[in-house]
Amino acid sequence: MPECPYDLRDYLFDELTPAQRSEVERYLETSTEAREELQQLKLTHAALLRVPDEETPRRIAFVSDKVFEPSPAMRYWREFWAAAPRAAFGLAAVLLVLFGGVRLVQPTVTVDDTGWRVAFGVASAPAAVTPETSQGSVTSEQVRQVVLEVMAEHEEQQRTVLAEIVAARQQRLAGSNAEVESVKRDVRELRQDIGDSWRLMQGSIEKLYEIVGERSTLASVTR
Amino acid sequence: MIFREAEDRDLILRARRGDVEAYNILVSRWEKRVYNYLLRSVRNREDALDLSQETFLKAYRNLGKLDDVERFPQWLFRIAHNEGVSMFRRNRLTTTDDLPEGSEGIPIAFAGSPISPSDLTLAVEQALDTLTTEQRETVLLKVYQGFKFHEIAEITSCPVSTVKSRLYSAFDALKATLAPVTRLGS
Repeated sequence: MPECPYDLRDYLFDELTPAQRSEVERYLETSTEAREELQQLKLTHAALLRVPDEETPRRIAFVSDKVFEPSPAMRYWREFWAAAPRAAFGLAAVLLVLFGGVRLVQPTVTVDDTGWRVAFGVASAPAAVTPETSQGSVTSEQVRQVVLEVMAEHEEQQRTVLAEIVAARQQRLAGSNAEVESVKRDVRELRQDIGDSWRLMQGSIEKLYEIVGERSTLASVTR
Repeated sequence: MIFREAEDRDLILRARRGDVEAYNILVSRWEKRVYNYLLRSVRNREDALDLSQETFLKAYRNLGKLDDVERFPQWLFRIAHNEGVSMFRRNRLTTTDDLPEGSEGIPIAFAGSPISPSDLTLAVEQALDTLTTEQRETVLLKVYQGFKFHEIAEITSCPVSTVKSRLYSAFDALKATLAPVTRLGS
């Protein structure tokens, strides 16, 4: 008589895979002794579970105590790091746009006997640049287009992050008025960050226009 | 193991930030399980209550060290298990000492008559008393608390193979001890 393929105790405690359980069940159909053994195991298991749980004689509870509460400094530190990712993202986004714009146009200021001038690209001798000799001159319109594209991309990123933050927070904190208020505060803060970013952008663009002017031709942009 | 993940997770995170009321709610959900686990371990109601309070106190102080809040049940019972072990070492309890009150001299077998629930309870408790401490711990965690073998291994800090060996040898002993009772009860 072949033996049971697996330990009946593994079967009882649901430690087998479905395929293994099926094998045991097929074996049980052929072995009266195995069925009796399993029945005895089940009765033992049931007997153990018949012993009811007791209620705790008295409730276990904790009161607010300075021993257990974090200090105000520790609470502030934890709150700061909870908000830090948000602040860091906003700052990183602003810096990325600014650095990206600066890197793109690479403004350099040169001062000589004739005064000072701002050039874009690698600083070189102030040679006259003619349309025939310029290599890939960039107009103010092209600069404007590039800046607008960067701004649009930044705005899209902000929208995506905002939507993710709101969705994640709403999912986790649904039903709690206090937590909904917290999400609203986050949204307001992020919108303020976006607004601040836009204002910085606008300021940068206005300065660029002042420098470039409407009719000047820029030197070639080099990396 | 029933773990209301969404709700308990929030309570744990709030408790970590110092919300004592959130922790009290968490305690109210787990105190009965922890208390009964310790009660069946140490077989004394006052000791079990004291150990339960110590368990939850230590859990609160060390919540920040819980890396994965999903593993809170195993983590909590590990603390409870260690508290029970510490008490054993302090008191050097043996299986022949501190039997439940009123259980002395009551035979396990009740020939010829149906077994009442209270008699069955006493029979089971006496049968558990015949096990070694390690075997009884494993039975309590597996049968009464529903932990998987790898979770029990984590709680008791021993290999899964050891946990299985202890449980199966305990179950064989219980099956033999409770055979007269289970025949009557079936």
